[in-house]
Amino acid sequence: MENNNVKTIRDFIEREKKSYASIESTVIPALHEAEGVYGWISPEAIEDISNYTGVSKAKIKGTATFYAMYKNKPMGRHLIQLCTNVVCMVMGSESLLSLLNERYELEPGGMTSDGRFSLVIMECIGACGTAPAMLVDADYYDNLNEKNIFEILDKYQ
Amino acid sequence: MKKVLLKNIENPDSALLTEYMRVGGYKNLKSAVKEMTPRDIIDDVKESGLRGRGGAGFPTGMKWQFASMDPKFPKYLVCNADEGEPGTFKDRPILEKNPHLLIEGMVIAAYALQCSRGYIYLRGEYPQAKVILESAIDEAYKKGFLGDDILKRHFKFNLSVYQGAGAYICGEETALIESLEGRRGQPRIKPPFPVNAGLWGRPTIVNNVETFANIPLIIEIGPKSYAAIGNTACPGPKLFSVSGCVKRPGVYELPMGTTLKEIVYEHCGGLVDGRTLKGIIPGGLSTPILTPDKIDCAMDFVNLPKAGSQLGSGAVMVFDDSVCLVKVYERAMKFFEHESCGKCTPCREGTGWMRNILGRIECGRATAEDVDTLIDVANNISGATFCPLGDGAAGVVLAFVNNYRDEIDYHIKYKKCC
Amino acid sequence: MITITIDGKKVEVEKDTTLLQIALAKDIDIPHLCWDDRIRPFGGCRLCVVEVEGYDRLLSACSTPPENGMVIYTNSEAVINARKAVLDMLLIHHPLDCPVCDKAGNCKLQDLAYKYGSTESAFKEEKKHAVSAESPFIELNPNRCILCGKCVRVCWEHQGVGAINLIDKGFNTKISPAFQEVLDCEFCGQCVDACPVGALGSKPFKYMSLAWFLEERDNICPYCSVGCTITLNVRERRIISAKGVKNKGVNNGDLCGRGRYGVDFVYAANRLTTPLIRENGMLRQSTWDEVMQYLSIHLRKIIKTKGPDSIGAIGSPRCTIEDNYMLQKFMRSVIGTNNIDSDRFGYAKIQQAVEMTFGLHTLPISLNSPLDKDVLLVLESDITSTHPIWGLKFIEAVQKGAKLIVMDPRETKLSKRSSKWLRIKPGTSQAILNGIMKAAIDKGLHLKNKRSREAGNLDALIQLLKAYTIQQVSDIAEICSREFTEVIDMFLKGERRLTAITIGPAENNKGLGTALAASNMVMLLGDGPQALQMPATYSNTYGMWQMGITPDYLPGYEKITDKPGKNIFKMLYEKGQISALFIIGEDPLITYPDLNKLEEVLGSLDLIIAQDIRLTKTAEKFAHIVLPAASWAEKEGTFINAAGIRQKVNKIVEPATDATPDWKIFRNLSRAMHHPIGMDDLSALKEKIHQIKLHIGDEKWNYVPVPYEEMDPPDDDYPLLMVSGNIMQHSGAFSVMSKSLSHVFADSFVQINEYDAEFFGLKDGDIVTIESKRGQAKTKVRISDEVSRGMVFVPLHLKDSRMSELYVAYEGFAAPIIAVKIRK
Repeated sequence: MENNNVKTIRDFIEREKKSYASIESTVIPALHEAEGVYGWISPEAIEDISNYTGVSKAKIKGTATFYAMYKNKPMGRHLIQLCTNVVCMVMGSESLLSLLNERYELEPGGMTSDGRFSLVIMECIGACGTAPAMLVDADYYDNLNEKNIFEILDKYQ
Repeated sequence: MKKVLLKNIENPDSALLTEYMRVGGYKNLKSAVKEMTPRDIIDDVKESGLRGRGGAGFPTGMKWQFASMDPKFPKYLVCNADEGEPGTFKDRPILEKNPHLLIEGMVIAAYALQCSRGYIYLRGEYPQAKVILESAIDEAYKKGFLGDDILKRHFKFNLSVYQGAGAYICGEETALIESLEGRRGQPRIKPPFPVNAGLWGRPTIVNNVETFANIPLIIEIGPKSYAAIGNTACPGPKLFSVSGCVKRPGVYELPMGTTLKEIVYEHCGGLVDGRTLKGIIPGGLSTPILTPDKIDCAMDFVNLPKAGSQLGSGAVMVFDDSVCLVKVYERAMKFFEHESCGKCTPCREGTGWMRNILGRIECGRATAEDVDTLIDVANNISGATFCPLGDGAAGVVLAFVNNYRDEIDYHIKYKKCC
Repeated sequence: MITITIDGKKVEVEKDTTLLQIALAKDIDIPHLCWDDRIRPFGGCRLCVVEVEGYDRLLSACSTPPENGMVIYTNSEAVINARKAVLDMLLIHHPLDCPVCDKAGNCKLQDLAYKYGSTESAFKEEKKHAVSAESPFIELNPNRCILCGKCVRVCWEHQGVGAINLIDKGFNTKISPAFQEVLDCEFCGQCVDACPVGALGSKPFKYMSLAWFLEERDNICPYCSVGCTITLNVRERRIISAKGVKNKGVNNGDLCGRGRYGVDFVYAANRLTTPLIRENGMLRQSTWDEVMQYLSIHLRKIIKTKGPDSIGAIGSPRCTIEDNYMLQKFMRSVIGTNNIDSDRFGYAKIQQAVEMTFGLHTLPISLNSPLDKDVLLVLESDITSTHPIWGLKFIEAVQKGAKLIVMDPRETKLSKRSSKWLRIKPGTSQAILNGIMKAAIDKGLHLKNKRSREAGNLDALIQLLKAYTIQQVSDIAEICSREFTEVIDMFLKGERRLTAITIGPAENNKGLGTALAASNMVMLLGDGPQALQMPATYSNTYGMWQMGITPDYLPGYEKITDKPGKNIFKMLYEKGQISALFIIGEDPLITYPDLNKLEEVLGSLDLIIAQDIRLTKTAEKFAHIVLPAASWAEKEGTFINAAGIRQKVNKIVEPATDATPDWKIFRNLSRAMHHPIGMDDLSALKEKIHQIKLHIGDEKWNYVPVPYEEMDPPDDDYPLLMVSGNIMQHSGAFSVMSKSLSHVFADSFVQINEYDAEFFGLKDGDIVTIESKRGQAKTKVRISDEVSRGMVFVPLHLKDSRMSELYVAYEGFAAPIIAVKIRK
């Protein structure tokens, strides 16, 4: 009856809980894990974590939605997280945003129609010295400009 | 000055244990554990005058002493690696290039504070740092610098990385602890302070990455020599992350108390040719902006407040005359609104309100009355919020309005940037 | 004690408190929205800020402890300005739809805006528009929400549920269940009472009345034996809604879903309005004169021809002590018999065990008992369903650090909050208790206390317990022996232990043997009867017993030694024992076991009188005379709660047409039979009851060793054990009459584990037949992991299921669990 996703999450929580005095602490790591398993924080993901931690679904949902980086809705194959905070803005991230819109019809918070990219606006990602910067999935890119951003994105199909 | 915090980082393998040990790494841990009592270390840290590098500048030795005086066990040691203050990227080189320095600092602290469990609360935005830190921790376990019997001195300390998921407020230590407990990162009521009742109600010492990275140096050169570095009121080496309109932005390790002028014009090569300075935010987005006439101010916990700002995280953001500050502050307020945790009324509602007004000024829909309302709202938020986030948001708006009223008035009158 | 100065006045205060609590105690008004003394301070609304000398910031009074010498101003200009500013910000998004808000007139935000608010806000943007969440009882209007978070914290910290939370962050935060769907919770409605504004509302009361038309009248809840005070909102002599009010009653403002939403049973469609009489096999409307005459003639005839002992009566735990006193008085002096009993399937076992072991005639619980304990043991008892507000004390104890051990095959709210939960086989609590005693004896703990050593029958107990080693008990209970050892250690290490067991008439998983074993254990450990908490079931179960509704006790627990009457097993399950039966406020066909036998006996009687507030199944089928009684809230009287506290029940509304208080019916009937028994009015009756001397018995410990036995072991034909009980929203007679409560669960169902469901080929919602060796019943399947494998759970008292046909009326020691099979 138990599918693989459920097992992965259960095993993860079983492993993680040894590191903490309270099992509730595994919720945040488990949400990261569940995102990998389900692609986003789906209702199933929340049910699974709730089942194995005993933390109520509403509490887990509250936690998941508090943090900006969790995918609280289904997203594209690749996630572009572009910083637009003050320094990146001053260094030109706004024009990168309009380019993304022109090229992929990609709005902040949205997804391309082919499901290739989702775009999320980030607050500072700690690359102000080499602004503007972005994360694509878990990869860091900085010193972006109107040219190299597409060279980079071409790597992500 | 010889680099300590950023020592060896030009070496592409600096994150490896062997490389770290090649330049004297873990030597200080050995001498601390073998030659000093926990009490000695706390006394030395107190005497060194080290102040927390996270932003508030609380004397580290004092924090440690409070925690060590609490009779409750277990005690927890937490490294705040949730570097989220916009403009700040000083902890990143330590985390990614010099992780063993942080680990060494934490193990010494754990020994001094008799903590057997520690966590590095790492911001979600640093995925590489997680990989690097975890591999460094593995190496340290294998070498016996972490584990149940460190250096065969029957001293136990286990350490792991806890990855956040993008919430600026978790840089506040009680919010960080809530997050470590698996919940929404909303700040807790103080008192009790974490040193008495933090993680799972136990005494918990939360220090910034850079603070821990200073500890091995104090052991190495002794508190007196350490206290002689930089400003005597708040000594030591300091990392400054400089960004914005300068020729060579980046992280600079300089003595505490280096002047803004030296940082901007000597180390960073000054502004782009032909541009003039419009304003400097000296300590990250939540510290008040300084006008160009304050350029001679020394960067430390003592002199910046006199000039009307704060050292914060030491993140210097430089704006030249090509930058529209109304737009900067509209964006800044968007940040505070986005990062307000929503717990207290003034911050939750007030940041959004201020962003609204700044947005109207920026796009030319505002009236002179709006500026009065903006000041009013900011004044109402100041001193009324639960934690410093809302205070900071109000403070930077007030500083901006007070120092750059002309630019604002121009926006309102001509509906465009000056 | 330390000294602080508030608004110029020096006051001495405790250290361990907050400025807000100090001010409230001194009648200094500090406005606050997010504070509630049941939960930890939050400090979010920022309305309670005060000025403290020496601080440049204003401090929130709710979260600031006093310090010696502190000088505080609660009403300075800075404070007033800050409050005004906070209010202005709270009103930014509030829709100000007061004209259509049920909270209007009773809304804290409205009051504060009236006091501090300006007529115009400087905020000029658009307000937010959010969608609302719904549920059968609770409606969430997020636009009115001021995000104080009180509902979330009450739901989690106090109620132990966590059904709602703050979702999203900052400006976008809203209160919601996990998936914005309908709220899926136990519907206690505590969040509604906690909400300072109109963001959370009770759906059954929506648009019923504006606050200023309502009159508040307190009463004692008619449901369980906790005896909470509920405040009824009455408009034009009609009960509109119910709520809990802080500082009132034993519940201090807490209420469960039954109390809050279940009082509409008073207006149920099947309420009796006139007496009925059976004619040609059919019941027809009658008058009091007619039925009184009929009864007078027929009862006297039966007494004359068959003797007084051919008449019996059954009293009601839902009637007041005045009603029950008059019933037994009528039976004992007018009829002349002790054939009086009540539902003997629940609390009677506790009464019996307490007498056999401690030598006491009664053992009340203490409502705060869990709070000062360090380890709590709960055996197969879903306390937060049967005694919800008492159950909260267990959650509070856990919050305060007590260890909670739960032994139950079912997942309950307490099992979820426990330190250790063992899923034992249904009905094995008695074996578990024997196992704990055996372990205690092995450790020599029984020798520690003089009373334990000297209690009667110790040797016999030790002898019996030889067969209850940890391994043997683990085998019986189907648990892991290592975990059982851990739990025993945890329990025996406790310095202040508490054991709690409920035995209600609907619960078949504990028997007399369980109550005896628990009593043996608290004696053996030297903890004594106070460490054993076995509460009465219904609002006046305790009072009914005290009034002598039992064949062998007079009022005040005075034992009848010469000629006790017949008990319910004789009267209702043995043909020929009686010829006439008076049934007060009970519906045996729905709530009593062994339906086939019962119907046979009832069908053979010459005269059945059913006196009730509604037309019961029993009355419909068998009664010759049906008498309409005034319901709770239509009469004055007294309930005695499980803690033995007498509480006044008030008349709030007029009775339905001809309905008359039960006590008055007996008075009138005795007059009609020309045998008046005095007590012509309520005050005389009360005086009489007041004079009753209580014989609680002399405490003398005596072990009653009883081996664990399984009454009806499962086999290949009947492979599943069927456990019955109550659910949160239903506890029997009244709750099924309530329109609101029946909205949630009206039809009966059987819970089965998903593995068993798959094995037997059942799907959620299937209509199945459950069969035992005694009978069969049809019901609907609900697959749930709340029950373990090898068992099913059925809530009793839901209408039209004939579940009771499956059960046996059983007087022995074992738990009367039965084995069943299920087929589609």
